[in-house]
Amino acid sequence: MNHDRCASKQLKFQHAILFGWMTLLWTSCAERKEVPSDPIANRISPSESTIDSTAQQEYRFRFSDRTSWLDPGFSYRNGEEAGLFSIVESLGGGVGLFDYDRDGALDLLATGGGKFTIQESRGHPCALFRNVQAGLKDVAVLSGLDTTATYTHGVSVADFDNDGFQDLLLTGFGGSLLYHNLGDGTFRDITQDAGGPIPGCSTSAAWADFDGDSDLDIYVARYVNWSFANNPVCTSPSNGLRDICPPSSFDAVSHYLFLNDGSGKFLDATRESGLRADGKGLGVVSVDIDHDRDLDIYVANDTTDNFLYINDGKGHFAEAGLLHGVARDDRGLPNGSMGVAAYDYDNDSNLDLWVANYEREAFALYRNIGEGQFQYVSRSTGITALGGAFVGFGTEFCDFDSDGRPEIVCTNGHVIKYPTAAPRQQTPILVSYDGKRFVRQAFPSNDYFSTPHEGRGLATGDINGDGRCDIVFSNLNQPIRLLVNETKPQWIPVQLHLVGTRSSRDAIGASVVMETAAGQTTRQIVGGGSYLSHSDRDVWLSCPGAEESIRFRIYWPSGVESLHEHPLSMSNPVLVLEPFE
Amino acid sequence: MPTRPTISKGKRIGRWGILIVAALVIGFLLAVVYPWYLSVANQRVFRNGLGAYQRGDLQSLENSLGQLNPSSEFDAKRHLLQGLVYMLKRQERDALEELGQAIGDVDTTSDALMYSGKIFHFTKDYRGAEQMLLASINADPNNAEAHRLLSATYYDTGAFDNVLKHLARVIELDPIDMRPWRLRGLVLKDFEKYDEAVVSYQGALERVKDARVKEEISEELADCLVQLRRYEDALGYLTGLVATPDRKVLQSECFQSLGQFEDAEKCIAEALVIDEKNLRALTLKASQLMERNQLEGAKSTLERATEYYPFEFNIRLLLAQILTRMGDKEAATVQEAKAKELKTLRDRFTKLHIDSINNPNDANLRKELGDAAQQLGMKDAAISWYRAALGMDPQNSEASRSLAELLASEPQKATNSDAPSIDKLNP
Repeated sequence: MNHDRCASKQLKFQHAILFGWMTLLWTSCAERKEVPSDPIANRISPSESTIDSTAQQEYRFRFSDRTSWLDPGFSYRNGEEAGLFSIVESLGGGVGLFDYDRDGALDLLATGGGKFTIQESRGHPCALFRNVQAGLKDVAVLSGLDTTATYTHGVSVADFDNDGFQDLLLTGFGGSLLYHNLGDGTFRDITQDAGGPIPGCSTSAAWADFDGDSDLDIYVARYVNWSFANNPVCTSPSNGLRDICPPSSFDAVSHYLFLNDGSGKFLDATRESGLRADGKGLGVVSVDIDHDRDLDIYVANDTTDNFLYINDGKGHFAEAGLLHGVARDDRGLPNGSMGVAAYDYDNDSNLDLWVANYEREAFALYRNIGEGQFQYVSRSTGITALGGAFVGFGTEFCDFDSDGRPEIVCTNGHVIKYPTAAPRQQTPILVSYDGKRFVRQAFPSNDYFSTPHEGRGLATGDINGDGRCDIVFSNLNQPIRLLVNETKPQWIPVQLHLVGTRSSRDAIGASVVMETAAGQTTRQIVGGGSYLSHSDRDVWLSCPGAEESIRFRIYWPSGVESLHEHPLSMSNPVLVLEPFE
Repeated sequence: MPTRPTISKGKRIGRWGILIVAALVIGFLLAVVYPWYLSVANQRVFRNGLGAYQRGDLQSLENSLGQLNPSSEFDAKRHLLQGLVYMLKRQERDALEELGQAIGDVDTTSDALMYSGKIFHFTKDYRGAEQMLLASINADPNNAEAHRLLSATYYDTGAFDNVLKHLARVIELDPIDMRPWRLRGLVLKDFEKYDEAVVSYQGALERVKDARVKEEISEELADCLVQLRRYEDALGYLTGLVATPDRKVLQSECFQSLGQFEDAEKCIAEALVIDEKNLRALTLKASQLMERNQLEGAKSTLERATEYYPFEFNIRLLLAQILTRMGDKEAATVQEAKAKELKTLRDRFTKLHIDSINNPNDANLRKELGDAAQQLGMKDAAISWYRAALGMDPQNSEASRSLAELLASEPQKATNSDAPSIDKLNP
């Protein structure tokens, strides 16, 4: 653990970086802490811990289930006991990893779902786990997030008012909720003041400064027009019993784009921005796919074409998914797309797109070949060889072993009660890129990755401050699970925390380009991603360690470029402030 | 020398006795055994006749018919064999008359109805076929051939649930027959139930004897395995088969998915040598060229493909993407619009197909399917669907007109009356 060495940071400014500002603006470094609730974890360092050396050599990745750190445990509830067989039930919930109290440790929010009565839905309270010395304590009641007003699905996090504290959007059925982080550990529901709730069934959301005014706007995906009045009866072909209807039984509903006017209000710019009126949206990520410094939007739709909205820099979009090769698979068919992630997996400086799809459809890897054009490469990168038995949801890229090449983690689970082609509970998968292909990693038989779940939301972040990327899973009607990464790093992990000044404070869209002896690496802070979930936005780089320091250039959304040099002996995370000029 | 008077007396008694016994035996033979023998002999002749029909051996069938005893006791069998003679001679009307006269006899009723159903099936009178075959099964629930033909009839009318139901009965009744396993595999594959299709095809492979058919089944099975992403298993079934373009394409997909790119490209090249118009080979080749950013090559490949297959949306979509990459946005937009239009038509066709499964006797739906198939350039399918509509409703004037117009534009199709299901049932 190296957060206690923050005080000794001696970062060099190459251009306009004023390192003193970092400590002023980011006061929490000295407080960053490891969760010590597991006594064994405290005695033994992760790399030396409990499994024997033979087993350790056998399995390349090692995650310890630290769900016991959560006090108390928590499960997303979908309200299936009402017997409505609503498609809303199948969506599940998300998790968010973010530091809401600015103490330097990632906290965890889990959406609660809800329940149904004959003609109305009610929320099941969310949980907000504050990362404290004794573990992760649920403080939802104290923080004001124990609402039952909405049947919740997703969580999307951003400091939309640039006050230094992360705010929240909770999506769900029956109205979204926008919470302002007051900075004192509590949140205030400002939904009405901000412009009112989003009607219907909102799912994933992505924050970004779409119109270039330095504050964060938001794209909110919505799913279908299910309602109590529109709840057809569908039966399972396998046994004739009632089951959840497929998305084809419902009409798509329009998604929303809200522009932040800087005064706490969000203006509905859906029509003006050129969004399509359809799309059964489940996942969304905002990402600069064409290096023009504005944030484009990629939307994963269930059974309909995925959208790629190309931004003109002023918040006007042209949908070009088909022409750019990211709307469908290699057969020209739209997929049942759920989770989504963006990452430069092949280190060619272009951000690629990854989509978790329905069973019998390969997960889609779209390689960005430049200028926003994509090539479907699932077959040639070994993705299709993973098999067609997964219904994929939450998913993220992360370099879990810090070898400079990414892994992809994806949580899976079926959406209907009586599936025939694949089981209802499915194992999560972790695939590792070897420079040419993605290879599925094996885990011990009793490992979380070897046991089936009804997986939905997933978020990544370093929850115990050990410089490694951990994972949180949200499962349907099952406890959320916390897996702590105990994989031995191959190279030196470097964690950058970017703070925008001219850009929005969260610096969504900022690109970090690192040059080392091993080559060039590009990382970008994206908005949204995964499924109904929010992963920590810190940028992770892996350095071979041949040099004493690393050099990286940052392209900020405001247009500012900055060059940095960072001694590898320094502790994580490294705070980087956007130059004012 | 001792005398043996009792013996001579006994001889006298035995002679009379022998005569009486002989008379009784002869009487018994005449009364019981000869009819039994006659019946057995005629049954054998009858079975030989049926066997000759199965082989399509008209001469032997006619010989059997001639050997049948002319007594009225065997009238029904004679009518049935005569009906089969007419069937082989393609004199369907006469065949139906003869078969009709075989109905009523306990030995021939089920078969007579079954063969009548077969005639209706071949003449695309699916409703008539269904009625006859159901009656045949009613007369003999264990008539495997009737179940087999009924499943073929349901296959052609798109009533796939019924297909599976009757195929299951065929498998029960005739466990060594390969054909129901294969047809079930085909139906399940159409339904994208690949796991179950694999099991069915494996059952067919265990029973098949003909080497050519075995290869066909192996290819169909490998296709399912590719859909299930079991590439190594699929390659196992494809190895050693006679090279065809489709098999080479499947191999290429497997190799590419397993990271053996050179082998993948080689297979595509071989497929196109055998058939330069193979759609899947052209599409895969274009995709491989696109991945290597060889856009000119990919473009020319796809342009060629659009000439061969103007109604395939995916090749137009890929072409639109290449044109976009090459900066020709105007041409890309044109191809994109065409791809969308064709995809919409294809989706409608799929939806109608599903509707037809749920409405197995709806003639109008079949007529609409014919229209949709025609719009997608699938003329054979259009003809089949129009015929299916007319089979259910001979008075459906729109289907009749559309069929007539289509046949007039494609005269060579008029003689091609064999349904695909029959091909699968009679490989």
